[in-house]
Order: sequence, then structure tokens, then C-alpha cells
Amino acid sequence: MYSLAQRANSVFAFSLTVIFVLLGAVAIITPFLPFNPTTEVHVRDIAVWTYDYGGSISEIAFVTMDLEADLTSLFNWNTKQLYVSIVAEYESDTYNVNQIILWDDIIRSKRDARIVLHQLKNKYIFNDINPSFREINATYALHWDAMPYAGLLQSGRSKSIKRVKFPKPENMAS
Amino acid sequence: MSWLQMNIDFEGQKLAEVIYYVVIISGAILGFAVGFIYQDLLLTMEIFAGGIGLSALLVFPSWPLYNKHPVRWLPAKQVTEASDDEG
Repeated sequence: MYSLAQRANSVFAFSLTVIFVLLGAVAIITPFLPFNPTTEVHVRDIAVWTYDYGGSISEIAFVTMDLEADLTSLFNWNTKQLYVSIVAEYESDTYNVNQIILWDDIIRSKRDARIVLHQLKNKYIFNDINPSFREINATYALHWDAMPYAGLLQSGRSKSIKRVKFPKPENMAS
Repeated sequence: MSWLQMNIDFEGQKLAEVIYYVVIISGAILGFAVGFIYQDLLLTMEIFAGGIGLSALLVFPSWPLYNKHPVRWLPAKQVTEASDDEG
């Protein structure tokens, strides 16, 4: 503290201590902030086609959806960005939980957190680990991950979930 | 280069330490409160950085306030016989 260099060192060292405490407080308080996102995933149409990949025939589903979501309440002071995805979840004979991401997006600002998308087609391929979906029911929900500046990732999913059945394949494989 | 050292006395050091403690901590608390109210973490960081800048301005230069109690040395002893004065 006697010279300028010593004072500068003390001030910066103390600032580092305080900023860690400050960000710790921010990280602790963030999960208690209220949020009430509204999400609606409406499945318009599902078509299942069979494809022949060199001898192994498998079913691939094509989904057309409408998505309406208001995620602005997830943007608090500690939200860097949101990762949102539409996930199809179903129980098959071989596995109890199957989750397949059909569509996803990264939302970087509160302005973009109000999503209205019509006639949305699945971005990623939709097939089961088994060759066939066997006409079971699947649920379609919007999942979100709120990535904070400091603290833990917070995840959630839409509450109202509708069950939609896979149709029969539209073509039979040759 | 001694002007760049900006030395201050002992009482000044104590005062400078208290000043930067108070300024940085209140900057953090104020930043937390304002950032929470406006839900803007960048605002928190700006206010916190402002606290650091203010404390640097207050504490880094050797302001006259920090040199009000200069160390008074004992008067130099009259050295009479070099060998006896070892102590």
C-alpha cells in the first residue's frame, strides 16, 4: 500500500474477489426468478415412408408442425441465449424412452423469443432405431435450455403435450 | 522515477484501504440492485467497473490527504565514538 504498484495490486486483487462473490450471488438468485413461457406445438401432418438402404428397409417420418411459443419470460438478466428444440418422445418395444429432436433453434435476444412458425417441417431425420415405428403414439413438445452468463443451465419443456399416432407407411418397400 | 511511485504514509495507507473497500463493495451492491431491477447484467458489470475506476482514481495517486501524517524520525544521534555505539 506504500507505493502506486502495491495499491494497484491490492485494488485489482480485491476486485477479483468481489466480482466472484457478485457473480455467485447472481448465479444463486437466477433460478428463483419467475418465468411462465407459453408453448404450443401442433402436429399438422405426419407421413411415414419406407426407404431401402442397401437391403435394410427402414421407416422415416416426415412431420409438418405449427409452433407458437412466447419465451420472452425466460429472458432475465442472466440469460445469454436459449436453445429450443421440438422433441418427439415415444415408448417403443425396445426402449422405454426415445427422444428425437425434429427441429431446433438458438434464440439470442428477447426480441426473437416470440416464435410463430407455420408449416414447419422437421429439420433432422426422424427414424427409429428399429426399422419400423409400428404405428405407436408419440408426443411432441417444445424443450428449452436457458444458458446463463453465470450459474447453471436451466431446462424445461412445454406442459400441454398431445399424443399423435404414427401412420402406416405410404409406400411399401420394393 | 520516484514521482511515479506515489508513496503515501502509514495513516494514508490505512485510509486508502478503507476507501477502496467501501467503494468497490458499494459498487458491487449498487450494481447488483440496479441490474436486478432493470434485469440487465451488463448494467451490473458497468456499475461494478465504475466502482473499480472510481476507487482507482481515489486511491492510486498520492493525494495530499494520504500524506498528512509523515513519519517523524528520531533525531540523528551524534556519533562520537564509532566503536562504542554498536547497540
